[in-house]
Formats: sequence, C-alpha cells, structure tokens
Amino acid sequence: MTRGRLKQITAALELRPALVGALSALLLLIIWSIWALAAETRHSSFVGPLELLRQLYLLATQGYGGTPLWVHIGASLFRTSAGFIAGAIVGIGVGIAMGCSPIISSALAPFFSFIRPIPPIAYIPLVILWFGIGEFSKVVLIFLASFLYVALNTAAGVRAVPQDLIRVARSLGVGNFRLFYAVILPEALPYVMLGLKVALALSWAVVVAAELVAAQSGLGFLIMDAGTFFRIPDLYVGILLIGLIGLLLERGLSLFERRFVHWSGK
Amino acid sequence: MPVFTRNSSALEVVAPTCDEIAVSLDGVGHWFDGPSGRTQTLRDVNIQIKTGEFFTVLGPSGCGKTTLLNIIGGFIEAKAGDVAIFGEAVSGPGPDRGVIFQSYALFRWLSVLKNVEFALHGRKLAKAERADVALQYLDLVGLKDFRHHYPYQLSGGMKQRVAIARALAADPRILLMDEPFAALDAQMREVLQEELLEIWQRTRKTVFFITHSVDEAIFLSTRICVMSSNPGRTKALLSNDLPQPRADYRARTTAAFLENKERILGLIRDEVHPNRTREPPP
Repeated sequence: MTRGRLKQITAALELRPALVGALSALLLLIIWSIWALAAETRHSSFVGPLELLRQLYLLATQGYGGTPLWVHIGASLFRTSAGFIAGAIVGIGVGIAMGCSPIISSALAPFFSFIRPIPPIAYIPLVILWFGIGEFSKVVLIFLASFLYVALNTAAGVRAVPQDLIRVARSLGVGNFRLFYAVILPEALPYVMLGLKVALALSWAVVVAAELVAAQSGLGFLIMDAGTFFRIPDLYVGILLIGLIGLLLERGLSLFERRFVHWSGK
Repeated sequence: MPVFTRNSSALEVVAPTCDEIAVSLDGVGHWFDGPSGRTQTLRDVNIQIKTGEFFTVLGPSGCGKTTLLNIIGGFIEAKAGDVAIFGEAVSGPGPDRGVIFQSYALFRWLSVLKNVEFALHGRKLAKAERADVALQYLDLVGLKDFRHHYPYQLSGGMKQRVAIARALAADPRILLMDEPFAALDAQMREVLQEELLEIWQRTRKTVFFITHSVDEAIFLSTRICVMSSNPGRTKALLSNDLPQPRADYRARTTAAFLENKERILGLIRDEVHPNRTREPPP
C-alpha cells in the first residue's frame, strides 16, 4: 500500500522538474539559515541568507566604496560585452575563412592548438604590461578569451555543412555569394551559437578575474576589496551578483537561440 | 508553365514519342588514386537516355552508380569519356538537372513552403506569385497543408516529398535521384514509388534513378541498367515492358513483373557468385 503510494509520488515528481528544483533550493536555504544562526557567533566569515539580503539592499541603496552598485555592475558588463562582441565578430570571420579554406585552416592550426590550453587569465600580467590597467587591457583580455571558441566552432560548423545540401543548391542554380549567405551560414548557425555560449560564459569568468587583479570598479574589484577589508557580507553579495548576472547572460543567449535558431538540435 | 495538381485529369500514358537524347554517356570512366594505387570506379560506361524515359541504374553498393549520378549532375568531372545533356557537354551543375538525395537535403531553417520557393529564386516573380507557384508544387506531392511546417516536424516520407516538390519547382528537364527512398520504411517506400510514377507520368520529366532494389527498379522504370562492380561497368541494359500505367500495388505481383524480377535476379546472382553452380529446384 505505502509502496504503491511512494511509486505514485516518484512518478509525479519525475514529471515536474521545476518543482523538484524549487524544493531543493528551498531546502538549501533552510539548512543555510539554521547553520548561519548557529555559527554566527563563532565565525564572522559566515553570513546567512537574511543578512545577505539586507546587505544587498544596503549596497543597492548606498553603493560600495562611494560608487553606486550599478556602476560596478555596469563596468563589468561593459568590459564583457565590448570584448565579447569584438571577439565574436572577428571569431566568426576567421572561423568562416578556416571552414571554407583548408589551407587557412592548416595555417592557423598550430597557433590554435598552442593557445587553446592556455587559460586566458594567464595573459593578465602581460596584457597589463602592454596596455596598462585601464579599460582597454580588460577588453583585450575578454577578446582573446572569446575569439578562440567562436572561431573554432564556426569553422567546425562550416565544415559540417553536408555536401548534399551544397549540391542541391548548386543544381538549383545558386551562385557563390548566395550559396554562402543562404545555405552555408544558416546551416552552420547552431555551431556558431554553441561557440558564442561557451565564449560568453568564459568572458564573464575572465572579466571577474581581471578585475580582481587590476581595477577600480567592477564586481571583481568589489569582492577583492571587500575581502581585503573584511567587509564579509559585501563579499557574499558580490559573489551572489556575479552568479546571478552570469545566469542571466546565459539565459538571454539561450532565449535568442530558441528564437532565431529554432531548428537547432531537431 | 506546366503545373499539375493531384486532382487534375486522368493519368496519361507516356509513350516515348520524342527520340531526342537527354543524357548521353560515351565511354565514361572514373578512378581515384589512393595510397595503394589506382582504384577504377567506372570503366567504359555507354548509356543513351531518351527524353521522357524513366531510366534506372541497379547495382550493388560500391559499383559506382552514385559516381555516375554525380558525373551527370556535374558535381564531379569524368576522367574519361564524354558526358552530354541534350547534346551539350556537362561543365557543372545546373537548373536543367534537379537532384534528389537519400538524405533529403532540405534547408532546415526554412519552412516547407520556403524550401520549395528556394528553387524559384532565379525567376523574376512577385512575392505572392512565387508563393503561389510553390504551393502548386506542394499540392502535387500532397503537402499543401504542411506549408508552414519545418522539416524537423515532418516524417521521412514527407521530407522526401518536399525535396521532390523543390526539385520539380525549378522545372528541370531531368530528375537525378540517388536512392531517394532507401531511408524510408517498406510501406512508405511503396507509397512514394507510386506517387513518383504518377508525377512522372504527368510531368514527362526524364528520370535518372539509382537504386539497389530490384523491385523498385522494375516497378518504376522503362529501362534498367544492371551494373557490376570493380570496376563499375554496365552489365546489361534491359527494357522494362511492364504495361503502363502501373502506379498501383497490383502491378507488383503480375506475372510479367515476376518474370522480369527473375531475369534480373539471375543477372545479379551471377555477379555476386560467379562460380557457384546452381542446382535446378527439385
């Protein structure tokens, strides 16, 4: 009797992934709150969810280090988007060239193979030496981080266009230019989108890393500064915001993909 | 412009009235050079296909029949011999030859209607007119109601119907079909064979059809070329004199059909087991 009931509940939960997710998040919040309540007196570095919310409100209304919170967020977002957009444009261009021409692809292969395993944050000291600690050095860093993945994925997408598709288009009297923009480009688009998604996630991670080292604004600067001066709740809020904004960026791109590349994966 | 709807007049019987040569292959050969030497894929293929014929190439995989289609389509160049379409040497793909592949090769990002409209890009047509013409071809394959669907929402049989409508919309003189129904299940394959025959009888296109199914070849063609492999060459050219129209399942079990099948199976069996002696049935 009870076993049957249990089976029913399991089946019902399997059909509701959103509900299960919400429940697990709620559970985590409860455990976190209880733990925070118990640990508050012993560890000043532990902050509970309620205090976190209060601090978020304080930061949003009063700013951090004399600068409004939205300026910090805006600084990080600006660096990310400038570097990411530049990297995406150049990456798509280079990727198309690599996909269309085996010679260009072979010529660039050694550089790409060498650069790929280097984490972009390894360039931070060099970029600072070359371009200083201003905005430009961060944009360059994000550009380097995003360019690679967009280029490699675009090239893979262009190479993966089925020969039959090109032959059908050719036999319908399609010329080179039209073949490129009306057949090859849309067929490669799902690959390009995948590259953009990876590149954006990486860009966001790298911008925070770059701001940790050399910046006077931005969310990376905020958490580094808060850590240095033992403003522990601010540190938590900074991490929370980085996570939330990263999530929103990813969701935004996914929404864009579902709208404009609706055939992807089907 | 000849556009035919499903509900138009009764089927006409095509007799090859015109003796114009649509496809002419004269001593065609092809090979590729690999690390282990030269592999001959086609040797001395001589075929003349008349206008309005339904010509089928039948052969085992690896006999070079797809290479032959690619040469006629202008996708690859024959390394020996002459290839001509209506008397003109082939120099590349062109809208006079429509192709239909086993993989459908539909544009996944375009709706069914837009896929067919793609074939009309070369014609100077107003937007509404273009959609109208495309719709007529969709109607021909019975997919008018699916014009706003995308390829990923269709079954394999429907996808191949869209591909056929798209190829026809460009109004080619010759249809090149490379095992178009091989990926479909047996029932759907027979349905599409019948539909293709109906379309062929109405549009009188010349068809160059590739298959490895003996039944398919006999059911569809007016002439069958049996190929042998290593290197690919024509083993026999048979005219298929089954009565027309035969877009009917009953045509598949007539005595004439089975007779032809026996003859072709014998030819193929010789090819696969050339030295095996066959004992007469008890």
